[in-house]
Amino acid sequence: MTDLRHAEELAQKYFDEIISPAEMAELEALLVSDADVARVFNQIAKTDHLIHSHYNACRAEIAAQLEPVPMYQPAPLPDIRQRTQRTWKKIRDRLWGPTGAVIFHVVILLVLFRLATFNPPPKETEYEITFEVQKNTPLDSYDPPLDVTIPVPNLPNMVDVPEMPSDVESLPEIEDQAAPNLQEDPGLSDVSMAPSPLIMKNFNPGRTEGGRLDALGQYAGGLDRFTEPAVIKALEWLKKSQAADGSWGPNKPAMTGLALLTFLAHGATPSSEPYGQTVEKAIRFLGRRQDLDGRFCQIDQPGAYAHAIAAYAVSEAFGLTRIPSLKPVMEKSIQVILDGQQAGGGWDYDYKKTARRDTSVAGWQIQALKAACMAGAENAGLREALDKAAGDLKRAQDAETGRFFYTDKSGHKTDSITGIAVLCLLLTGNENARETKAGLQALAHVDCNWEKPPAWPLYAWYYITQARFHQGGSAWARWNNHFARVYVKNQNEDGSWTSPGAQAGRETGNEVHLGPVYSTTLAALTLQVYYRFLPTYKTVTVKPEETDKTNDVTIQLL
Amino acid sequence: MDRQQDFLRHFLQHQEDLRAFIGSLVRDRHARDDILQEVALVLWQKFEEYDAQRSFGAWARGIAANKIMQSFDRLKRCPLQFSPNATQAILIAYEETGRDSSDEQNALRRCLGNLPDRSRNLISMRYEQSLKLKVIAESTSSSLEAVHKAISRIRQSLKKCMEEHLALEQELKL
Repeated sequence: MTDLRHAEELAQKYFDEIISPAEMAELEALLVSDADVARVFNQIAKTDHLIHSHYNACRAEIAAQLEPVPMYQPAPLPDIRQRTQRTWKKIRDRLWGPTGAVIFHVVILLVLFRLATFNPPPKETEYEITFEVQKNTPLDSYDPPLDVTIPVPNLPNMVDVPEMPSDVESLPEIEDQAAPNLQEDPGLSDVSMAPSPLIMKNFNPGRTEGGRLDALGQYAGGLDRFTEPAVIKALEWLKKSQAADGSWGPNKPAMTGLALLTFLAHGATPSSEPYGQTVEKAIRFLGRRQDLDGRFCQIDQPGAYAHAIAAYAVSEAFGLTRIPSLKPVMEKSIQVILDGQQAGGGWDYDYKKTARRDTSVAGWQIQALKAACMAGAENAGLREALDKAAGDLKRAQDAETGRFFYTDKSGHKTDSITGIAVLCLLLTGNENARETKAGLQALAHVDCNWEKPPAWPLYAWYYITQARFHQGGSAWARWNNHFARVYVKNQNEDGSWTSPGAQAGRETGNEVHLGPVYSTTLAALTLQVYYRFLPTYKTVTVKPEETDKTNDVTIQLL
Repeated sequence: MDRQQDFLRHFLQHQEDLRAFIGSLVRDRHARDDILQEVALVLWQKFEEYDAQRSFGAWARGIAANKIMQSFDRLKRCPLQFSPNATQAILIAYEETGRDSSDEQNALRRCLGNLPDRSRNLISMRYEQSLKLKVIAESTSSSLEAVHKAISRIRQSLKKCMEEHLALEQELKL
């Protein structure tokens, strides 16, 4: 029986080219005597080759300056000029590197063959040779004939089709299209959708097509192949279930806010396809819905949530679109939240200035304030309000368990409340605070069990997923690996989600009464964590050293 | 002309696979590509003998293995050269491994993305910049042995990660 481990070590040395002659002889003997060794050898060879060709492909891509291939781009218009470029790029890619050399030799051989056997007329030979010379011109010095315009009569407007954004900071989809029908709404009458070079500055690069794909590649751990189709299905469902006035219900400001946030998370704006109209109608609805004091609804028990969610959505909408008339809408709604904050930094239902402070209510207020901050709201005391809110949360922590209380020390301290507090501390720049770390620690055991859900499951996991995402490392990898599958598997056929609380037959916290828009938007927003995340944490400096590295590969370099 | 196209179609389809196979036996990259070119010529010359019922890949690998063994003397200057018997053993085992699908490339891309920065740097030095281990050891001021251990371990963890990915994909497709 061969020591396969030892054989593997020898093979590893072979692939790193540090194998000694004696070891090489040993490996050869093992290979000949045991088919398993040859199998192990081939497996390492396979990995080795995959990594090699990955980097070769990357190099070829960079050399050809290929734009990233969009995942969910509607089929491009048949622009003939563009197609010739693409084809050229394809050929160029194919011929890049050693592959080119091989094809060159094969083709030359074929040409010689033809010369010998068919004796073709000289003119044809000339063509063949020219073709080869062109192929083998070094790419660096070769200027591909991109500017050669093939005359295309009767194809107006095609040349204007914007190229894929190659630069995260520009948002070409906004530039070419004017928003239709904006004059209908008196509140947004002088809206202009003029392109702004500042559009993506200081906002999330994950909200562009390319940025989203990058973020997915970086953070989704490969699960985006499943999560993104699920998100698209959810967006389609939301698009279909929007009311004619642009809202979703029940509790229109809250549900419209959540739905709008879901579309914005995917980078949709009034001028983008295919959700532009949906987004525009939702923004208009919220604009109309706001009263003169800046409220989206009466501030009562559900109202404190609803107003903050709507303000959150409007702030993100302004941050992404820079529609000028949205700025006062945002700032007025944010002012209501600022005015409703208690001296201690907390919030209560009705924005009452009583002794009762409420972590759950605070969650949406803080997300709204943070989004407004990122979007450039100029309300006085905005940053201070975030700091005060963080102070309030820290005081609501149970020092013993690291959990956070719902209201005061007599209240409950569930996972969902702890998740809210931790995310909000992260949003307010407290990622290194003792309280945050203790909170993350307290959440370490939480899993995403659809069959045995906690109270308010989708609500809890919305916060916990984001908190974990920020935590990173193996804690995030484990959670991501689990929750994303569970969410994808439990999506309804039509693209919506039903809260698992509904099946659990729970009396309270089953989320049923909040309806399918609530469960669908929260689930989708949770699955969008990979690219949604950046705006809120943009100013936060993440220290990679803080992450739990127990499952990572440790390299000892002395 | 049809025969040429037929050949090119086959060859292009199996080219990467062949390169991988030759590359596992001939570590020097230039030598590898030289041999691949020679093999391509032999394949074309012998294409008439190719039996369309058989796998083109297996046929081509057989020819490649022969070519490598023929080049044995020439390659000797490169110390990492397997004996003909070992080459045969690897060739036979190869048929079971099954190679390169685009799924695997995708999985690898994800797995590389998940590596901690230090690991990715190391892999990039080795595979992207094609540095010898000795050079990597010098530039990271660590021992040859430590670098080798780290890279072996990363290779293994990438392999495991890819397998998990492919399994997960299967699972979610059902």
